[in-house]
Amino acid sequence: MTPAPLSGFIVGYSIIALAFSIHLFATYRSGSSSKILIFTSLLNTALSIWLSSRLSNDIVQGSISATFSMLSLSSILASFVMLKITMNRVPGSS
Amino acid sequence: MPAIIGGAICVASLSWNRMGPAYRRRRIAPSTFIIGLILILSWDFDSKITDDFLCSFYGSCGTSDLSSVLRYTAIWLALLVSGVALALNGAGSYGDYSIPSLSVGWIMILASVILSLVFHPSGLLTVDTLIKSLPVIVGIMIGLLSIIGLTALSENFEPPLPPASGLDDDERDAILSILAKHLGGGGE
Repeated sequence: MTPAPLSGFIVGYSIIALAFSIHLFATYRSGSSSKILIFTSLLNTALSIWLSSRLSNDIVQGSISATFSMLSLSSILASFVMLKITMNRVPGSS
Repeated sequence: MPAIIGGAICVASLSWNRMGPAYRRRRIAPSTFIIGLILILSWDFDSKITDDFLCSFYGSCGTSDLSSVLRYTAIWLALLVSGVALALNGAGSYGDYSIPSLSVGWIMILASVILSLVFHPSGLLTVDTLIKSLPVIVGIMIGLLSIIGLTALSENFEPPLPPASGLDDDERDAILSILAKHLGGGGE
Protein backbone atom coordinates (compact mmCIF):
# COMPACT_ATOMS: atom_id res chain seq x y z
CA MET A 1 0.00 0.00 0.00
CA THR A 2 1.58 3.31 -1.12
CA PRO A 3 1.16 6.24 1.33
CA ALA A 4 -1.25 8.91 -0.01
CA PRO A 5 1.37 11.74 -0.26
CA LEU A 6 3.71 9.51 -2.29
CA SER A 7 0.78 8.48 -4.51
CA GLY A 8 -0.06 12.12 -5.13
CA PHE A 9 3.59 12.82 -5.95
CA ILE A 10 3.68 9.97 -8.50
CA VAL A 11 0.43 11.23 -10.08
CA GLY A 12 1.82 14.77 -10.48
CA TYR A 13 5.14 13.48 -11.83
CA SER A 14 3.38 11.18 -14.32
CA ILE A 15 1.15 13.99 -15.61
CA ILE A 16 4.10 16.27 -16.39
CA ALA A 17 6.22 13.41 -17.84
CA LEU A 18 3.38 12.37 -20.17
CA ALA A 19 2.69 15.98 -21.20
CA PHE A 20 6.39 16.46 -22.08
CA SER A 21 6.47 13.28 -24.19
CA ILE A 22 3.34 14.43 -26.07
CA HIS A 23 5.01 17.84 -26.58
CA LEU A 24 8.16 16.19 -28.02
CA PHE A 25 6.13 14.08 -30.47
CA ALA A 26 3.86 16.99 -31.44
CA THR A 27 6.83 19.25 -32.23
CA TYR A 28 8.99 16.51 -33.83
CA ARG A 29 11.12 17.75 -36.73
CA SER A 30 13.08 15.26 -38.77
CA GLY A 31 16.81 15.83 -38.30
CA SER A 32 16.33 18.53 -35.67
CA SER A 33 14.70 16.78 -32.71
CA SER A 34 17.06 15.17 -30.22
CA LYS A 35 16.74 11.37 -30.31
CA ILE A 36 18.37 11.03 -26.89
CA LEU A 37 15.85 13.45 -25.39
CA ILE A 38 12.91 11.59 -26.96
CA PHE A 39 14.24 8.22 -25.77
CA THR A 40 14.94 9.36 -22.18
CA SER A 41 11.60 11.17 -22.00
CA LEU A 42 9.71 8.06 -23.19
CA LEU A 43 11.60 5.95 -20.63
CA ASN A 44 10.79 8.48 -17.90
CA THR A 45 7.10 8.51 -18.92
CA ALA A 46 6.86 4.70 -19.14
CA LEU A 47 8.39 4.31 -15.67
CA SER A 48 6.12 6.91 -14.08
CA ILE A 49 2.98 5.52 -15.77
CA TRP A 50 3.97 2.01 -14.61
CA LEU A 51 4.37 3.31 -11.04
CA SER A 52 1.05 5.17 -11.15
CA SER A 53 -0.72 2.08 -12.54
CA ARG A 54 0.03 0.35 -9.24
CA LEU A 55 -1.83 3.01 -7.25
CA SER A 56 -5.42 2.77 -6.10
CA ASN A 57 -7.85 4.33 -8.56
CA ASP A 58 -9.59 6.28 -5.79
CA ILE A 59 -6.32 7.95 -4.79
CA VAL A 60 -5.45 8.85 -8.39
CA GLN A 61 -8.91 10.30 -9.03
CA GLY A 62 -8.94 12.12 -5.65
CA SER A 63 -5.48 13.64 -6.21
CA ILE A 64 -6.33 14.94 -9.69
CA SER A 65 -9.69 16.22 -8.48
CA ALA A 66 -8.09 18.08 -5.51
CA THR A 67 -5.43 19.61 -7.80
CA PHE A 68 -8.03 20.92 -10.24
CA SER A 69 -9.98 22.30 -7.26
CA MET A 70 -6.89 24.15 -5.99
CA LEU A 71 -6.33 25.51 -9.49
CA SER A 72 -9.32 27.78 -8.87
CA LEU A 73 -7.09 29.89 -6.56
CA SER A 74 -5.16 30.91 -9.68
CA SER A 75 -8.18 33.00 -10.76
CA ILE A 76 -7.56 35.31 -7.76
CA LEU A 77 -3.87 35.58 -8.67
CA ALA A 78 -4.75 36.34 -12.30
CA SER A 79 -7.23 39.05 -11.25
CA PHE A 80 -4.55 40.80 -9.10
CA VAL A 81 -2.07 40.72 -12.01
CA MET A 82 -4.75 42.11 -14.35
CA LEU A 83 -5.62 44.83 -11.81
CA LYS A 84 -1.98 45.95 -11.77
CA ILE A 85 -1.81 45.99 -15.59
CA THR A 86 -5.09 47.88 -15.87
CA MET A 87 -4.11 50.51 -13.26
CA ASN A 88 -0.68 51.01 -14.90
CA ARG A 89 -2.26 51.69 -18.27
CA VAL A 90 -5.07 54.06 -17.32
CA PRO A 91 -4.58 57.16 -19.55
CA GLY A 92 -2.86 59.91 -17.56
CA SER A 93 -1.73 57.55 -14.78
CA SER A 94 1.98 57.75 -15.63
CA MET B 1 -11.37 7.74 -22.08
CA PRO B 2 -12.53 10.73 -24.22
CA ALA B 3 -11.28 13.09 -21.50
CA ILE B 4 -7.78 11.55 -21.59
CA ILE B 5 -7.60 11.70 -25.42
CA GLY B 6 -8.98 15.26 -25.26
CA GLY B 7 -6.30 16.25 -22.74
CA ALA B 8 -3.57 14.77 -24.96
CA ILE B 9 -4.95 16.64 -28.00
CA CYS B 10 -5.02 19.91 -26.01
CA VAL B 11 -1.36 19.45 -24.97
CA ALA B 12 -0.37 18.69 -28.61
CA SER B 13 -2.25 21.73 -29.95
CA LEU B 14 -0.64 24.03 -27.35
CA SER B 15 2.76 22.68 -28.46
CA TRP B 16 1.89 23.32 -32.14
CA ASN B 17 0.80 26.82 -31.22
CA ARG B 18 4.34 27.54 -29.94
CA MET B 19 6.01 26.32 -33.17
CA GLY B 20 5.75 29.55 -35.14
CA PRO B 21 3.56 30.62 -38.08
CA ALA B 22 5.76 29.00 -40.77
CA TYR B 23 4.66 25.52 -39.71
CA ARG B 24 1.43 23.97 -41.03
CA ARG B 25 0.87 22.37 -37.62
CA ARG B 26 0.67 25.86 -36.09
CA ARG B 27 -2.24 26.75 -38.39
CA ILE B 28 -4.45 23.87 -37.22
CA ALA B 29 -3.58 24.34 -33.52
CA PRO B 30 -6.64 26.49 -32.52
CA SER B 31 -9.20 24.16 -34.14
CA THR B 32 -7.45 21.10 -32.68
CA PHE B 33 -7.54 22.69 -29.22
CA ILE B 34 -11.30 23.20 -29.52
CA ILE B 35 -11.75 19.53 -30.54
CA GLY B 36 -9.72 18.46 -27.49
CA LEU B 37 -11.78 20.70 -25.22
CA ILE B 38 -15.04 19.27 -26.61
CA LEU B 39 -13.75 15.73 -25.96
CA ILE B 40 -12.92 16.66 -22.34
CA LEU B 41 -16.32 18.27 -21.82
CA SER B 42 -18.14 15.38 -23.50
CA TRP B 43 -17.23 13.09 -20.62
CA ASP B 44 -20.59 12.10 -19.17
CA PHE B 45 -21.41 13.94 -15.95
CA ASP B 46 -22.99 10.83 -14.42
CA SER B 47 -20.36 8.42 -15.70
CA LYS B 48 -19.11 6.08 -13.02
CA ILE B 49 -15.47 5.03 -12.94
CA THR B 50 -16.67 1.44 -13.58
CA ASP B 51 -17.72 2.61 -17.07
CA ASP B 52 -14.28 3.96 -17.82
CA PHE B 53 -11.19 2.08 -19.01
CA LEU B 54 -9.26 3.43 -15.99
CA CYS B 55 -11.22 0.98 -13.84
CA SER B 56 -9.63 -2.11 -15.38
CA PHE B 57 -6.32 -0.29 -15.95
CA TYR B 58 -5.83 0.53 -12.28
CA GLY B 59 -7.63 -2.56 -10.96
CA SER B 60 -9.73 -0.59 -8.47
CA CYS B 61 -13.17 0.73 -9.36
CA GLY B 62 -15.38 3.24 -7.64
CA THR B 63 -17.19 6.51 -8.18
CA SER B 64 -15.67 9.98 -8.45
CA ASP B 65 -16.66 13.58 -9.02
CA LEU B 66 -13.65 14.06 -11.34
CA SER B 67 -15.74 14.46 -14.51
CA SER B 68 -17.82 17.27 -12.99
CA VAL B 69 -14.68 18.97 -11.55
CA LEU B 70 -12.98 18.78 -14.98
CA ARG B 71 -16.01 20.24 -16.79
CA TYR B 72 -16.41 22.94 -14.17
CA THR B 73 -12.67 23.84 -14.38
CA ALA B 74 -12.86 24.09 -18.19
CA ILE B 75 -15.82 26.51 -17.93
CA TRP B 76 -14.28 28.97 -15.44
CA LEU B 77 -10.86 28.73 -17.10
CA ALA B 78 -12.37 29.56 -20.52
CA LEU B 79 -14.16 32.51 -18.92
CA LEU B 80 -10.93 33.69 -17.27
CA VAL B 81 -8.78 33.37 -20.42
CA SER B 82 -11.38 35.21 -22.56
CA GLY B 83 -11.73 37.93 -19.91
CA VAL B 84 -7.95 38.41 -19.59
CA ALA B 85 -7.59 38.61 -23.41
CA LEU B 86 -10.34 41.24 -23.64
CA ALA B 87 -9.01 43.25 -20.68
CA LEU B 88 -5.43 43.17 -22.04
CA ASN B 89 -6.70 44.34 -25.41
CA GLY B 90 -8.82 47.09 -23.82
CA ALA B 91 -6.02 48.22 -21.49
CA GLY B 92 -3.89 49.10 -24.53
CA SER B 93 -1.38 46.28 -24.20
CA TYR B 94 -2.11 44.98 -27.72
CA GLY B 95 -4.12 47.81 -29.26
CA ASP B 96 -5.87 51.08 -28.45
CA TYR B 97 -7.27 51.86 -25.01
CA SER B 98 -10.92 50.75 -25.08
CA ILE B 99 -13.35 51.15 -22.17
CA PRO B 100 -16.02 48.69 -23.55
CA SER B 101 -13.45 45.92 -24.11
CA LEU B 102 -11.88 46.59 -20.69
CA SER B 103 -15.28 46.56 -18.94
CA VAL B 104 -16.50 43.34 -20.56
CA GLY B 105 -13.10 41.73 -19.86
CA TRP B 106 -13.26 42.65 -16.18
CA ILE B 107 -16.87 41.44 -15.84
CA MET B 108 -15.74 38.07 -17.25
CA ILE B 109 -12.69 37.94 -14.93
CA LEU B 110 -14.83 38.68 -11.85
CA ALA B 111 -17.47 36.15 -12.98
CA SER B 112 -14.69 33.57 -13.34
CA VAL B 113 -13.33 34.31 -9.83
CA ILE B 114 -16.83 33.99 -8.31
CA LEU B 115 -17.59 30.83 -10.30
CA SER B 116 -14.28 29.17 -9.42
CA LEU B 117 -14.40 29.91 -5.69
CA VAL B 118 -18.06 30.05 -4.68
CA PHE B 119 -19.93 27.57 -6.89
CA HIS B 120 -17.46 24.68 -6.64
CA PRO B 121 -18.98 21.19 -7.23
CA SER B 122 -17.35 19.82 -4.04
CA GLY B 123 -18.38 22.82 -1.94
CA LEU B 124 -16.00 25.49 -0.67
CA LEU B 125 -12.25 24.82 -0.78
CA THR B 126 -10.97 23.28 2.44
CA VAL B 127 -7.59 22.68 4.08
CA ASP B 128 -8.11 18.98 3.32
CA THR B 129 -8.26 19.76 -0.42
CA LEU B 130 -5.07 21.82 -0.11
CA ILE B 131 -3.25 19.00 1.73
CA LYS B 132 -4.45 16.45 -0.85
CA SER B 133 -3.24 18.55 -3.78
CA LEU B 134 0.18 19.51 -2.33
CA PRO B 135 1.97 16.21 -3.16
CA VAL B 136 0.65 16.43 -6.75
CA ILE B 137 1.97 20.00 -7.09
CA VAL B 138 5.36 18.91 -5.65
CA GLY B 139 5.35 15.99 -8.15
CA ILE B 140 4.72 18.42 -11.01
CA MET B 141 7.59 20.69 -9.83
CA ILE B 142 10.03 17.76 -9.51
CA GLY B 143 8.82 16.53 -12.92
CA LEU B 144 9.68 19.91 -14.44
CA LEU B 145 13.14 19.80 -12.84
CA SER B 146 13.71 16.29 -14.25
CA ILE B 147 12.73 17.58 -17.73
CA ILE B 148 15.37 20.33 -17.42
CA GLY B 149 17.87 17.64 -16.37
CA LEU B 150 16.97 15.39 -19.33
CA THR B 151 17.29 18.31 -21.75
CA ALA B 152 20.73 19.25 -20.36
CA LEU B 153 21.79 15.59 -20.56
CA SER B 154 20.72 15.24 -24.22
CA GLU B 155 22.48 18.50 -25.14
CA ASN B 156 25.71 17.21 -23.57
CA PHE B 157 25.61 13.89 -25.42
CA GLU B 158 24.58 15.05 -28.89
CA PRO B 159 26.76 17.03 -31.31
CA PRO B 160 25.56 20.54 -32.27
CA LEU B 161 23.00 20.60 -35.09
CA PRO B 162 24.13 21.64 -38.59
CA PRO B 163 22.96 25.06 -39.84
CA ALA B 164 19.23 25.10 -40.68
CA SER B 165 18.28 24.75 -44.36
CA GLY B 166 16.82 27.74 -46.21
CA LEU B 167 13.10 28.55 -46.21
CA ASP B 168 10.90 26.88 -48.84
CA ASP B 169 8.35 28.88 -50.90
CA ASP B 170 5.45 28.38 -48.44
CA GLU B 171 7.59 29.42 -45.47
CA ARG B 172 8.92 32.46 -47.37
CA ASP B 173 5.35 33.53 -48.25
CA ALA B 174 4.24 33.16 -44.63
CA ILE B 175 7.17 35.26 -43.32
CA LEU B 176 6.63 37.94 -46.01
CA SER B 177 2.92 38.25 -45.21
CA ILE B 178 3.69 38.62 -41.47
CA LEU B 179 6.35 41.28 -42.10
CA ALA B 180 4.03 43.14 -44.52
CA LYS B 181 1.20 43.03 -41.99
CA HIS B 182 3.34 44.45 -39.18
CA LEU B 183 5.21 47.03 -41.31
CA GLY B 184 2.06 48.17 -43.15
CA GLY B 185 3.31 47.22 -46.63
CA GLY B 186 1.39 45.62 -49.45
CA GLY B 187 2.91 42.18 -48.98
CA GLU B 188 5.18 42.36 -52.04
